[in-house]
Amino acid sequence: MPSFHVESADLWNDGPLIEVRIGLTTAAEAANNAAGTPIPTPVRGTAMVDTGASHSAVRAGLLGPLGLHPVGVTQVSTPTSANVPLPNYAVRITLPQGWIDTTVCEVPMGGQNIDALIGRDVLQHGILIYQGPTMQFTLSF
Amino acid sequence: MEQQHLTQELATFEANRENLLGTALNKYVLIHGTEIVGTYDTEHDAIQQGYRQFGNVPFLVRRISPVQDVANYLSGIVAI
Repeated sequence: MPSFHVESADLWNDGPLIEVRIGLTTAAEAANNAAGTPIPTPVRGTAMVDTGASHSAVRAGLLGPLGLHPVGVTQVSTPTSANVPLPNYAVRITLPQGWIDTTVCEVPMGGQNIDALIGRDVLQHGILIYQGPTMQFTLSF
Repeated sequence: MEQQHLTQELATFEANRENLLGTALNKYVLIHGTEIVGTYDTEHDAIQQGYRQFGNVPFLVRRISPVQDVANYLSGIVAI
């Protein structure tokens, strides 16, 4: 099972952060190839592993360079809003070890220095170990 | 422009909702414009077919369910 381990300088304040790349799925790449459209370089960003997020999400505007079109509409709810319809996009999220295909919405993330959330749609496939006293976490798939 | 396309697909879903619920409950439907392309066991399969058949253009993949799935973000990071 692929696994990666992160030691954080301040896991309590920063949260479980990982560097990710977000790009096209294999199917989208094949569609681009068939159309003679260049395959865009995946977008790099900092993601937080968020067990409070049912679905992964990315910062609004992050997907622009990928030239993706929506594959659905998701109703999004937060502590201050309910059932806000947002388009979602099929993406490949590449983690330090391995990748996973999922769908994400672009959402505003305020002043946070975070580009993406890794939600339970991804976590359902793995094991997350959060070690508070040693400020480390491990994510295995 | 994207919402216009998806608006059409969503209208197609609503127009066929009862039939889809009766024949393909909890499967995933692929819709392009007014065309119901098919139903699939997984969202991944439906999306793959969408790209394979139509290319990198808007299309709708949606789980066939009486209640639409909701994405919940509890931490406050999502500023909606």
